[in-house]
Amino acid sequence: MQLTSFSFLLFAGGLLILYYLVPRKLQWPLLLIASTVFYLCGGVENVFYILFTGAVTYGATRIIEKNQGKFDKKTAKKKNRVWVILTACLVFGLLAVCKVRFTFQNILLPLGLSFYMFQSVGYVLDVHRGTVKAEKNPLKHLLFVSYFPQLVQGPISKYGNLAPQLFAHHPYDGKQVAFGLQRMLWGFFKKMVIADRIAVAVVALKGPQYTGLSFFVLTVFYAIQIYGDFTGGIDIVIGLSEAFGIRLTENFVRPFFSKNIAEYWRRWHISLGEWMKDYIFYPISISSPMRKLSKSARKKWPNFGKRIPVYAASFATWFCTGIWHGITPNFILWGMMNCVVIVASEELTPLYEKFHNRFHLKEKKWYACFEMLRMFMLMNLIRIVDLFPNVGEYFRRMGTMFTSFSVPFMKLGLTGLDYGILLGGIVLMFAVSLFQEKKGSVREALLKQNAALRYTLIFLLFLAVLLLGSYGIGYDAGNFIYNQF
Amino acid sequence: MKKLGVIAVAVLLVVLAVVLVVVMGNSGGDTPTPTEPAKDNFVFTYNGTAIMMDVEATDIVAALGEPKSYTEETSCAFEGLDKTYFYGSFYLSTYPMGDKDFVYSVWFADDSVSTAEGIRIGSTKAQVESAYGAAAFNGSNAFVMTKGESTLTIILKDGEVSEIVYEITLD
Amino acid sequence: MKKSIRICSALVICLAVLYLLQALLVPKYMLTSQEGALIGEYYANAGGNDVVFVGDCEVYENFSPITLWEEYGITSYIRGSAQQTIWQSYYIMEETFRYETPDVMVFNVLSMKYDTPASTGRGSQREAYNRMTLDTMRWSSSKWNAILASMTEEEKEKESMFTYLFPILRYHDRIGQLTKEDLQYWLHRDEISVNGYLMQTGVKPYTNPYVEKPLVDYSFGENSWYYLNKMVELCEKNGTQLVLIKAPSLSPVWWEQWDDQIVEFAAEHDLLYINMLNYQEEIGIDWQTDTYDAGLHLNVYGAEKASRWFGKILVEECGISDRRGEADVAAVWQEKINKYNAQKEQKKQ
Repeated sequence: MQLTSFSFLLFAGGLLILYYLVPRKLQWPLLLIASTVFYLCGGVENVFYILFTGAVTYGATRIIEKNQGKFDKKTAKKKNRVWVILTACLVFGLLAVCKVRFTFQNILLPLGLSFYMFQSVGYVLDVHRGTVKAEKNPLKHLLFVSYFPQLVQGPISKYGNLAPQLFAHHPYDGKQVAFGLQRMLWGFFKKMVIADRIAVAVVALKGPQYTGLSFFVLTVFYAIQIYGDFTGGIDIVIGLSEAFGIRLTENFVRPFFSKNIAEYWRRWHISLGEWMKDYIFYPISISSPMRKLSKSARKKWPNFGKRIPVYAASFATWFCTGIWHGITPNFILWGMMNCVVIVASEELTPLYEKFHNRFHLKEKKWYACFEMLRMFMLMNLIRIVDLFPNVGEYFRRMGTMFTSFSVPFMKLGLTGLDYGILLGGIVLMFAVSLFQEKKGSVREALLKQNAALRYTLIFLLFLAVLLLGSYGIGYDAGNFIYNQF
Repeated sequence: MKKLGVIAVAVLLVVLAVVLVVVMGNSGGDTPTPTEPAKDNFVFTYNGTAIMMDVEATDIVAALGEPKSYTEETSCAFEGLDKTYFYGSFYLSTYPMGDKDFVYSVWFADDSVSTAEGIRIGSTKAQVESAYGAAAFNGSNAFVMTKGESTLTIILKDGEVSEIVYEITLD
Repeated sequence: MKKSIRICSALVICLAVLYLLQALLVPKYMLTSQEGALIGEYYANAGGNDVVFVGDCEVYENFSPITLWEEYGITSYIRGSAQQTIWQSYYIMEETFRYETPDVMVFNVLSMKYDTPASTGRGSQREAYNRMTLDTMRWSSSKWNAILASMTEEEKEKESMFTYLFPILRYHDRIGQLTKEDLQYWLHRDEISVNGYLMQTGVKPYTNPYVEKPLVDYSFGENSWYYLNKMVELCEKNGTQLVLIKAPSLSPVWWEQWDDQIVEFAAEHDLLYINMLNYQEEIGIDWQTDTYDAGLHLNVYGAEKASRWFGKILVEECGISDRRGEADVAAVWQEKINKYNAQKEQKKQ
């Protein structure tokens, strides 16, 4: 079931009604059943992967907790390490096999595989670290692994945040349900009106004949597409979950307003970044070999040596993040480019400080805008490598960027009307983001308006999706980009 | 704890590195950028004019010169015409898509033309078999070969080829 | 209480807006692709028809109910539509029996050649043909089943059933392509056929014989036979005589091998089958004057000839009686004749 399919709407709507009709203690079992049905709709084989992941992580957490009770802290840790590593190998091994088959044999990835695998391995580590208690009820554990709204494209939730909400009783709360549905609608708008429409031009611009400024336009269009697609999808997911009374962790906080790369990665695909930080970056950077390395390096270069563990950990983290997106060379390059920019901006910090101390631009509004624009374009250039499995082609295109300046906008499969709709949609998205950035929740603000105005605006948004959405016969850009990871 | 992290990550990296090596090994480095897939359909060549199924027909029709006869059919309710050209030894039919015509099928009218493999009307079953392989025989009266989105059908009657038809495969 | 009234009125307004938008966005088939309007025009004329024709363009272009009335006093209706497939014909027959039980059902067998939705054409045309036949059908289990039987793979993949239920979901993207026709026919339609007959008055003489590529296997497909058998059963159940015809159109080619199979089937089931291609002379078709598209379909002059000839068969072989003496029926038909003559005059110009 695609998130933007009619059957998903029907499914979600029916479930929502049922959810508030059944006795509250049956709410979580209902969600488990719904998740199972959701999986089965995607094909029976999907269930195998999720059951495997569920069983392995359940077994591991049970053993880990048992050891924690049986032995003293140190022994338990030692013993449990083996189990954690074994779990990670089993789960990620399966993920690796699936990714290889996807890349080379064109075999579809099981639904949402990397999202729930990362989420459940993170949970095993949390249990090992003692930050959360292991779940004893295997069915509850399975629901944590398979909770369907977030299955297809995240966010990757932490057990400590998600589980208590999953199993709590949720009385009907009209405002909460209304807010959830409003957020879904906004998600549909971003995904169907903007991302799926501009997707046509992105596909066209990928063609080898489009060099020069067209390549720059491609990077901007792709940024808009992936933003609408991914944040729109997440809005649908979080909105639906909100209607169930379950608050998922935010995955985006208006990333294009970031002024530097570190900030960008705190605002874009947050749950993946957090995961990488908690389970890869952090353990590596404070591991004892790293500390030793840092110690010896500091003797040679007192300043730089201090930062070596951080850089090494960054390298590993970005390598993994790259591979998470895909195992073709371009994704690894993508990870490395991010890493290089991060390290470079870190190394250049003293220089920047000198510059700013001298010129005092930081307080100027236009300078902030400049920084955002600079970040936006830099990230666009890095992101676009997603589309070029042939890395050489990526560099070739980039090299031509300032060689020709005509962009054949009307030959990309979009009409003037399409561009008009896109422009309107983008302005609306921008306005909403700006409002959120400055004043906070748009939905809360709407709630303060009179009902007639509020309902009219919501109905207009609904009509926009209904009439201007790219769906149905004749439209092909159906798949969410983030389904394939 | 910290040690564990290192081990876990090391294992992970090894797994991923192995995957990566497999990947690189398999792909032999860079894979070429996928471009608009070129059509790989059957081609019938007549007097040096290559007629590929499902390609735009304008140039082909121009190259073939004046047909011996020509008919066209409207489709119910739609603009555009299905056209059939007769060139004495074979027929060529086209279908409309947008404002262009595309090659829909070619079939032989006499034994003066042959397929690229040298099969013509009147060839024996054994000749067809050696040209296209026995596996293509449908068990009753025809050899059916597919290539890309096209089909080549060689129909037999009394042990000899009676009809040869190239056409687009309808899915 | 006050709140619930507010909510209800808001809901009513929203639904009304949606209804109006849908009415605006669906294709009208009034000035362009008129074939798409045919199926929906039946309901205003349902009941009291002695003969109902079912099939593709070879019925709605080649027979004129007015001639059947004027010459023989036969009341008839043509439930034809562009590229109507046999499964659609079956469900349209089934639906017709909800409204009336004619003495004779006439089915044009050309569509036996299409065995599956995929074999009926290329690309997006298939879906468009489905729409033209199905969109204006009234809702019933027959329509539901007809849709299920007709959907192409692409339609199934895109969950088109929902779009048949709510056509706005299919035609939403016409918002950028609205024409005068859409505004003019926003909330009403004109009747463009005369009892299902779509009149053509042009003349384009037939010149070269039509040829088609030979086939490996001339046997009709399983699915086609399945629906033909169901038609036989359905008519039997309703006590209606099923007559099979092949209309006198020169293209698409009607292969002899196909004809043989229908002849055999008709004999087996004791059905009347008439291949009108065999009676061209007797009918008196002049392919220089009686066709508007070089032999594919008859124009009004040819259709009148074909109807005059076929009416005799309906009277002699099927025993359809003359109803010109029934004053109320005659009055209704006089109106249709007036409309027909007016159309003829208007289209001639």
